[in-house]
Amino acid sequence: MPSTDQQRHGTSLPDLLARCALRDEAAFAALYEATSAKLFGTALRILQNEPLAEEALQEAYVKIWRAAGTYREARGTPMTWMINIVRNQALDTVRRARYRRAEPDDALDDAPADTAGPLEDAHTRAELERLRECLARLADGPRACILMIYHQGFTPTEVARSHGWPIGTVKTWLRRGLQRLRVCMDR
Amino acid sequence: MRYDDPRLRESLAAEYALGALHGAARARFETLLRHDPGLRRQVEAWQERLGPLAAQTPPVEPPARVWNRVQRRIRAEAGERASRTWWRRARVWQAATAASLAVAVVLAAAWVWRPVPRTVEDEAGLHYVGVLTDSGHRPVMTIMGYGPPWRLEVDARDRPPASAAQTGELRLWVRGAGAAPPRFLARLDAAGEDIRLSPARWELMSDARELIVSRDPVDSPTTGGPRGPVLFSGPCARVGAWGDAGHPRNTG
Repeated sequence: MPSTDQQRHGTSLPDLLARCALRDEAAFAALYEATSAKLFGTALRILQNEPLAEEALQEAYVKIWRAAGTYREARGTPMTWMINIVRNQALDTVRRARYRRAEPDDALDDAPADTAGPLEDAHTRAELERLRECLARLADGPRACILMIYHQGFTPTEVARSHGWPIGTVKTWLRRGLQRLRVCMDR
Repeated sequence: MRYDDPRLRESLAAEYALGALHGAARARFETLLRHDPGLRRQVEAWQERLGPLAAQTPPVEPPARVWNRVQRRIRAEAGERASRTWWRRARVWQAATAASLAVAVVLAAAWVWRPVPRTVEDEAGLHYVGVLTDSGHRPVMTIMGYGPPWRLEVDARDRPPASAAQTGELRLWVRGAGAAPPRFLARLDAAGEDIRLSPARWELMSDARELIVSRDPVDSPTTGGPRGPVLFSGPCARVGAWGDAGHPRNTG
């Protein structure tokens, strides 16, 4: 169903968002078609529960529709902007409802599959490569913390509990790991 | 906590973007973000840095019902909010199949001079309903007069052709019971805003029989009726009891 050749048709994601800001429903439908599978995957990974992920996705798209006019290309790619909306929604759900998922899913995090879709351009692929390289340079503990929190919405406390690590250690790993990641990526 | 420490700011921005902040700390940070553009930029930079991680999340096709719900939500909102853009609102036309208001409007279109059915009266502050047709007798616009404060809400089926605004301005006129030429009410704002009327202008509505939209040369006089072609026109009916429409001298 999703048409993945937005660029070729001259309806890039920034264009579609701009048209959404003008309340163009057809543009919104095209935007949904092009991005919903990626966003649903993101919500599902954090929530590990289909009905909750559907709800988060629905809320996220209503927010995207409302806030389309506030998107600025200079401040980030449309995908990043939208993914953060759905991530925030999913994190709200996972934490507000005190809903807890199954055991942490280390397998997913340790083996980052390259599933960059056709929407990701060469630039994004290069960024992904760079991020992977920089993550690989971190020690196992800090890397696991960062990935579990990002992908599955765990809190630092949950990460600590699930691995039997002291919470102070997790917090330190997290802070230093992110610092190193930045230094490595901004080089 | 001291939020002006650059290292703490950077660290919080990173942790927020990652999703590590939760509960009260997250809420506090979000409040801070709203008033701190510099901090917002730091968060955005982190979101970009971490963004590629999302690329490795496998896409999953959501069921069709999600889109259906999203669509229902945004359409319901559009109706509630009654966007101020009259040429895009088309609220009445969308509702025309079901809403009782639409039935009343059709009655008004059929030259009903009696008070229009109760369903319309029920809408608080509504005093006038006008239905305008084009030269082919196709209904293209409704105008509803509300107050106080006095205002006209315009619903157009389509945005007026761009040429209309380019070669002049759209003016709204009201024709009364007598033989006098139509009296100027307002310009139809190209930006689609609803029209606020001064009490004096509203008074012109008191014996309204017909509303007219013309395309007049910009800056031409507004006395003596339209100077340019009439684009749309149609009957205007007063709704509800006489005397409560802000025309104290008019007892009907």
